Amino acid sequence: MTLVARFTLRRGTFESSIDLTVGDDEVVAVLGPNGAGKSTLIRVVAGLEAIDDGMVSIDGRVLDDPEKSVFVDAADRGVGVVFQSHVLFDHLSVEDNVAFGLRARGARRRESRAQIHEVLRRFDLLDLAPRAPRTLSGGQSQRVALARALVTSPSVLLLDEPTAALDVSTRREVRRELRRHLAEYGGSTILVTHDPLDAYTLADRIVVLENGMITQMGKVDEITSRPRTRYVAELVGNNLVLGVATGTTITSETGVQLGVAESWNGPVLATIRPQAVTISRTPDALTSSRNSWPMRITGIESSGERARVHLTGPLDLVGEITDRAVEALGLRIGDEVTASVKATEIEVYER
Amino acid sequence: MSRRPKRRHTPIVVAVWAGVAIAFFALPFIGILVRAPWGDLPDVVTDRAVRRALWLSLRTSFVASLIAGILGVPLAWVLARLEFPGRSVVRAIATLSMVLPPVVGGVALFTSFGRRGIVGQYLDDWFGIRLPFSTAGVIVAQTFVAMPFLVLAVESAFRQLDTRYEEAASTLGARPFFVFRRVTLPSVRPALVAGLVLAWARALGEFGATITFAGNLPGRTQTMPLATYLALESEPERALVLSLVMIGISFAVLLGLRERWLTTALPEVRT
Repeated sequence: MTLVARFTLRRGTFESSIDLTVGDDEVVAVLGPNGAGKSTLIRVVAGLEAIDDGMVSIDGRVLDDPEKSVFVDAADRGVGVVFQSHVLFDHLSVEDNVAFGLRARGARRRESRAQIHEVLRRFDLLDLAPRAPRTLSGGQSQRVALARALVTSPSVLLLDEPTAALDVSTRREVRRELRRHLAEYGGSTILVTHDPLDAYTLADRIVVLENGMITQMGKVDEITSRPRTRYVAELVGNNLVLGVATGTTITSETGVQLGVAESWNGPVLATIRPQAVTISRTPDALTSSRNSWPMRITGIESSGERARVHLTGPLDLVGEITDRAVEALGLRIGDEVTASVKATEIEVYER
Repeated sequence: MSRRPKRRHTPIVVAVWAGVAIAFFALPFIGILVRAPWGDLPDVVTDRAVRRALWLSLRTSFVASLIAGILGVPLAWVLARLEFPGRSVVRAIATLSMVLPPVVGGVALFTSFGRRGIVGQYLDDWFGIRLPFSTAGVIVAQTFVAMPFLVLAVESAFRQLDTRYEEAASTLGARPFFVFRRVTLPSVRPALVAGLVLAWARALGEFGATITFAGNLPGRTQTMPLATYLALESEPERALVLSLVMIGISFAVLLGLRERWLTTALPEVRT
């Protein structure tokens, strides 16, 4: 099953232009800040929102094409949706929620009993079958929503912020379960999230959506090692510099010069891993580093062993050093320090 | 920093006014209770004419609220969910009979569904249906004045309903009518029950439209309110007993349904 969504949608001042293909058995995570158009993408594919231009198809079957006046209703698309906050029917039991898709297609209670039983077993819901949805925990309710969406074997599965409604402790468990169920499910999956961990642990490929546009697409390690926008860089915890290269020098947008190891020409992106940043007290220390700048500390986040030090100066940087180093240097917010980065530690790639 | 909230003070003026309101409601009932010829109660209640009026009232008001539900729910849905020109005019027409003096409603019904009415003459000529001075006419009059209560209650519930539930149902393959039947309608059940009760209460108490349109034929169109009013002229004690019976029935229904009313007043909060 291949899902193709290539469309433009306009709603008031919001505009979204997307070109996305999801292959068979592929899980694509759509990552982006709030209001980027992630939910809109889901609503378009599910048939809850009509596009203004372009085309949406599954396996060559056109679902939405304004030019040819084609619009297939949500009920006929064969697209399963797990909504944010799950949207379970409160007046039905867990079992009837799961059976809803089969009943809607006209299956009698008796005919579908065996199939429902099998699905409830697979999703570990047998004990919860007679319960009312409002009595379930977040993780259980998520499982019911997933079972309900998958019971009719849709060719495409859409997950809208599957872990957002859960508390931190259940999130990990739900991710593990989701991973297992997504592996068993053979169709195309789009998973919308603003949590990079969801994307890292569940997806084969990541699509970054900002202001209604796809700004970056790729495998997990490509996204983390070569972010193309500040949003992505921040999300993956990397430093990103936009600049223009002449030889082994990059001039950033703010006019800061960075020495790099390889020779480049033209507009480039440069990433500096936080671990590659050295922080020292002495302003003119003699080091092998080609890059050093006077900086002021604006924040220190300690995780017990390592600390992320936020620096501002000619450019904004995040450095990661050990807690012991923070202690030894007596670093505090507001301190003036020198930050340096070896030219060989700066990764440069085309913009 | 947390400070214990001060004990909530009841504004005395408000409490006094509320007391006046309660007294205003309660006094008339106390009046009936005090003056009622309790000794006559068994005789009057077992009186054949009274039993017929009571039975007629219960039957017609029940059927009227049922019809109000069958016709009113789709109307409420259309008013709540469909955008069309003149929607506010349609809503005004649908609720006009609620603010109109019931006698005027009766006159209006007479000119439309009466034997010489614009619709009534064809009902008579073609189907031999004569609504005036029939039990069916009583039901028509009651439905006419009672339906707006149901429509307003259910419309506001449809309007407040979270559409995501219907969307989820449609992504699961449900056709619009299946969604309506299995998701939309169950979700507004508290409002529907409240609307039905309101409509039933209004139908039970119907007087003006009924006497104008359906007349006052014992056993056929003479409902309890009509019987009570007529008794007041000739046998006031009898009127008191009849009133007592109706108060009893209405009060019992209100008490029995208080849970439903509460759930309507406090819609479930979801995040």
